[in-house]
Amino acid sequence: MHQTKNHSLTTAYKQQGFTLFEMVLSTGLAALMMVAIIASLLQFNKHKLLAQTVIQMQSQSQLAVFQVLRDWRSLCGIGVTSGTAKAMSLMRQYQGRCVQYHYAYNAAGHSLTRRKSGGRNSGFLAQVESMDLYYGVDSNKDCHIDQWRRSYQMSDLVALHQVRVSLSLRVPASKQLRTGIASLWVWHQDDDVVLNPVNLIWRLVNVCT
Amino acid sequence: MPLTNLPRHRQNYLHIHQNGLALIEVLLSLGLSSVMFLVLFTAQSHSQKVLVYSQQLHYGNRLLDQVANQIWAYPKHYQSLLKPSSQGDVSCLDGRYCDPIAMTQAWAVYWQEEVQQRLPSGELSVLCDSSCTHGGTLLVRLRWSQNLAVATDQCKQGVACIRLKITL
Repeated sequence: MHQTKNHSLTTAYKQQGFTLFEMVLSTGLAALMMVAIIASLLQFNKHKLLAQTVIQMQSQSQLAVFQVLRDWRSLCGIGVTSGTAKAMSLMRQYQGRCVQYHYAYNAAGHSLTRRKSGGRNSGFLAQVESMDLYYGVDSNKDCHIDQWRRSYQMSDLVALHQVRVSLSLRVPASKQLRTGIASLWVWHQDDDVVLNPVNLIWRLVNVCT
Repeated sequence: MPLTNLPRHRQNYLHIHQNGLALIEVLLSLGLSSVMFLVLFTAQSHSQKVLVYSQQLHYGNRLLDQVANQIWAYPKHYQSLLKPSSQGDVSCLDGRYCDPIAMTQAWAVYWQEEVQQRLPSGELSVLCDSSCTHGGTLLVRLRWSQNLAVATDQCKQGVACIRLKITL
């Protein structure tokens, strides 16, 4: 180093480091900034999870309604033959033929299954927590539903007009959202899933038209 | 660039002026950062409210779909839907035999309960445009309190509205 003695002293005098006040102030400010950054990151993450869950709930319910109604639309023959609160049998078109199909709720697999007559069960709708079917029947032939019953058996005495389907769908959601907006959804007691209620009414078009 | 490479007068200048940040600079940067975080949080909070609104709209649309189905099921009893009575017995929807008027009233009560439960200050109304006869128009309207809703010709600011027109 080519410095004069005088200048070296000046430099040594100036390089005193930070005072305690400066240290406390800068540490405090840094801490404040870190807290703000971490809080906002956590908040952003929670918001992202919330948005994902809401979108998933909406698309899942739309898809479920579409899938159920599309499958039951191509009814044929005698139509719905029988049903309980958790299962239903009906005749529908399959490759130009009128075939009997059996739909049932599978509690163990959390799904709605479909079985063609003589075939095997296959998953029809996934992530189903519960399903309840109500059958709107007309028993006095006035073309109005006079009873909503939990089971149905095709007969000449009653005509089935509508089927009311109450589904509760499971939407996987992060635990972080449990402390979120309480009114937006209902949590499953044991699993980390949000229960998404989906109600739909299937109107049998060939009755009383 | 090392200080030693600089001319003497330039080195002295730099030594004299390396005093760190002034208080005003620190305060200004802190203030700007705070404003930035405030803007971010406000935007996020608004976005969260939009999500809630979208969920309400989704629910409302599904409900109107069900209402429309039931209206078709009782073509001669629209009047019972127009003036929902608290007398309606919801057990008509769960096993009990009921006449069409009682059934329609039961649905009206059921929907009102559903709406009040799911939507803040929710209100479902069924109106006939001219007459409730064949060829007339039935209007199913759902309203609830929602701060984000903008004023329309049907609803004022802060009230969300969705409606369905059915030609009878």
